[in-house]
Amino acid sequence: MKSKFLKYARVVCAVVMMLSIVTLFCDTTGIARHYLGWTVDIQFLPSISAGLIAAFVSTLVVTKLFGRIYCSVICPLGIFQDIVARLGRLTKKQKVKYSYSDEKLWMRLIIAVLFIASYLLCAYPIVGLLEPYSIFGRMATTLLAPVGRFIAEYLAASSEAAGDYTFAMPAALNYSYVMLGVALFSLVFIAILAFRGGRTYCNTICPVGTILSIFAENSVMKPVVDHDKCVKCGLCAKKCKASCIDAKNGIVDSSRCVDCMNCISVCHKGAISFSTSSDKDKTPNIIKRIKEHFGKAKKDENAPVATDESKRAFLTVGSLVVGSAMTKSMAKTFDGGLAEITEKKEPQRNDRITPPGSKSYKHIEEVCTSCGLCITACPNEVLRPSESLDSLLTPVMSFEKGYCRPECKRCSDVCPTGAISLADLAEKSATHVGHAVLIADNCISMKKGVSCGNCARHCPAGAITMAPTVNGDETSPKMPVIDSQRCIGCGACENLCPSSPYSAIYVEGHRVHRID
Amino acid sequence: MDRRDFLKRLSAATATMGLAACTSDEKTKEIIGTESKKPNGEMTYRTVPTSGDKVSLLGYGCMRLPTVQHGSAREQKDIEIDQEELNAHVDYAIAHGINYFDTSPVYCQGRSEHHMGIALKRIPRDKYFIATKLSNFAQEFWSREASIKMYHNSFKELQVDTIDYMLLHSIGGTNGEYNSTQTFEKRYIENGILDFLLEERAKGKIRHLGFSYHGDIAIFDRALAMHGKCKWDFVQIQMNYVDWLHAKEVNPANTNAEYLYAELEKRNIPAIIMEPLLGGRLASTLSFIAAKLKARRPEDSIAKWALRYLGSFPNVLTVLSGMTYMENVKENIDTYSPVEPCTEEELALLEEVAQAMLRYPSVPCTGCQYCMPCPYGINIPGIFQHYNKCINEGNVSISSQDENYAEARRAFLMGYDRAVPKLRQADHCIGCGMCKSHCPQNIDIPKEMQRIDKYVESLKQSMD
Repeated sequence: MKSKFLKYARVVCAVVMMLSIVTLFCDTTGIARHYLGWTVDIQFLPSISAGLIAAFVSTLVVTKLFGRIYCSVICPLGIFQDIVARLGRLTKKQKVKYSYSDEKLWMRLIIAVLFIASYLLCAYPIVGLLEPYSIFGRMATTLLAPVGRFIAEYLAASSEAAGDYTFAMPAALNYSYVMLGVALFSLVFIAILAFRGGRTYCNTICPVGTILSIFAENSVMKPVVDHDKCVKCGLCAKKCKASCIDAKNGIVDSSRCVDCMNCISVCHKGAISFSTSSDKDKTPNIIKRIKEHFGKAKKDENAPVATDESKRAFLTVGSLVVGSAMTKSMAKTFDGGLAEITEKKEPQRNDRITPPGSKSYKHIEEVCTSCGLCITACPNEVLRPSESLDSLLTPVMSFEKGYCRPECKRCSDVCPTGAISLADLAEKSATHVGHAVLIADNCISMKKGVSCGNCARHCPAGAITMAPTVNGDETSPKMPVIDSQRCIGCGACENLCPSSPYSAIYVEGHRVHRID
Repeated sequence: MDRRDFLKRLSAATATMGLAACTSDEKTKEIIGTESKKPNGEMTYRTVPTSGDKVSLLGYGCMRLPTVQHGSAREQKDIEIDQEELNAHVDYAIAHGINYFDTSPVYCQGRSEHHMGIALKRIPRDKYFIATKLSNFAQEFWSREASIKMYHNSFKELQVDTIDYMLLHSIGGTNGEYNSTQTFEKRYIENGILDFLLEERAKGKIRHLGFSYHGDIAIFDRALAMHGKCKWDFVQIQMNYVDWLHAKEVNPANTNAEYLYAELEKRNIPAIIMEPLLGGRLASTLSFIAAKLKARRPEDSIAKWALRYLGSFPNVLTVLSGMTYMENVKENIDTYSPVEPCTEEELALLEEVAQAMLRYPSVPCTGCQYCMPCPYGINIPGIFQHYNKCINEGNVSISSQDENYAEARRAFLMGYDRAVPKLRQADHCIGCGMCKSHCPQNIDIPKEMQRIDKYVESLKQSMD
């Protein structure tokens, strides 16, 4: 009984965690962050980046004490793999049987070293692409958030029919097909690995898994085989999704074990328990393993499984991306008796605009892991993933559908890494993320000879004044004059400019945000 | 929390609907008979100091006489006045104590005096007082002869030998290139008409002489300065609980009734009140304000509050109400039979109401769509409709201290996004003014758009 309890406890924790994180990504109201924000704050890399030392140290201490519980109940990508593996066992006629495999040590080390080096050298895209929480985040942003939007729309429509205002119509998501491509690639790749071999990804690729396994390799408590009771039937090894139980020798490789507790619950003889290990069962530490490994490396010809799968997955992703892009361009909207509105297009900006609180290009590149949570949280349809190579998938701002409202700092509230971080709204309104630039030829005072002043009227910083186009003639059409020192780059002017598709006034980003 | 709220409201709504269905029958059974509003007592009368005339506190205004098409002859300019219905009004009014009828040669396209003459001819002359005006606005009437001709015509149309109350009509206005002072002098001084009327009063053809005033306060002051010579028997002013302290906010050319009333009271000149309901704006109000008033006096209409307010001032001689429909006549008579003056607390409440109404006036948009399409894609009637709906449902708040502020804010903003897509909302109005000339209600659309936009902005920024 006791042996089953541990497994059930793990499953319950994992389900709760998964639902919480999914809710966070699907939420359109900004309420979930108050209750569930911590679930992403405690993620491994985000906790380091955000300087949540307590969370980071706790993760390491817990891992040292109990092994990689983190991988089982905290990491959403780990839980995702368990779900896929579970589905695999349900759908296949013959239940998948895992088997013990040797550690792909060299691959783990290379990736982990690459990851740490990238992090230290600020090679941002590599970090973001390898980090498990962010991989899951991109999948959730592109695949789950739209579902959340759909549900919210349905609720809003039905509460509207009832004359009720409980549910708001959600803001549209700024969808990025580049992000979808990256997410689908990792989804298909990781799902296939999980479907076939359980936690293959966690124990061959995941750099967080490798780092944690150094702490877990001789954890205080771990699954321990009682050699007196064990009959070497091998059932535990077949159930081990981490492929880390060497049933012949009765050894559990605790560096790869993710504490799923399945082996304990499955053993008929009660031979496996979660307890302190004796010296005899100790997993050799990483240094020993490296020495050992490179000793026999010459003989080992095992090629990594990944290449073939990834190629196939890439092709699938590619065709999907093309397909959805085509449906989008075919869709047309009709508006009835109202004048048609020419949709705004994003201007060519020399410097991209990063959200207030992201401090500088350098800061966001160093810290952001491009999980996409801020993009799902933005209620003003401003944030979207960057599609340029130097800042791939990090959040950037543009103002075709809305502008960065003065009362909102939701992106900063949800950001788990501290890449976007604002103390309060006052700090936000004092942060100059860019400055407005006038394109006089687009201004309707030039095009149509009428005064408009909508930019000046809506500028929250009072940075725009209207001046006559003809010097000294107060009756001539007026044109905006921008005080770029005052401009905070919120984009109200660009969004509300009547000129379409290109606004007569647009924002150029600042590489370093000025705060005053 | 939110979902619970939603469900709670849903079940509450179902329950009240059920309840309403059950109770409505019982109610009609029990309260049969009180429906037709019978006055509780005698009409209140006020006395004119100079003559001792006892004038009913409610005066019958003859600017909005009923037409055969069941409208008001003020708006329905080409429709025949319904003499039969008018006679019925007059009969009911006389039977219930109204004795003051206020007309003018210009009302109802010049038809008012004629029809009132017919209606009143059937009534004994000592039962009513007739008031009419020297309405020589147009420059063609500025000559002495034309004005006197207009004056004599009133006797003919009204079929009377004496006019009980004669007014210089609406002093303080301007005319073309003439400012208010020049206009006043041209109409009444230079042509000697004022002296003529004083003589007529001395002869007894006119029993009381006074003036009605709109516009430039200098002319009001000037006319009162002439009190020594003219001995005004009464003065007619615009007064109601909004104009008392907020006249300038309604119309920058106006002056607070508080000042006008005080000036008259100082000189012991009785005040006759026009626009007691501010052109109908005080007959219905924002539902959240109405709820406050209803909570105080559940059976009283919003118009009744406005009339009781005026009845609370002792120097008010009579309150003129243009009553197009018999139910208005009945209700107003009921209000003043007798008048129940407002308490201090009620006066304070009405001041609160006035402030609220000025802060959130609804837009008189009828949704005719003449302004559309807006070249910038704005859904003008959609925005006004949403704004008005929110005002009427009480979802436009006075201040963030209001009890229902959070809810109202939510309903306004969420409903706004639902009713009008973001790109068609008021913040996209550039004020080009293309729509303005198309609006049959003369709404200053760009100004209203910016007002609504400001309100939306204030709501948005007050969040979280």
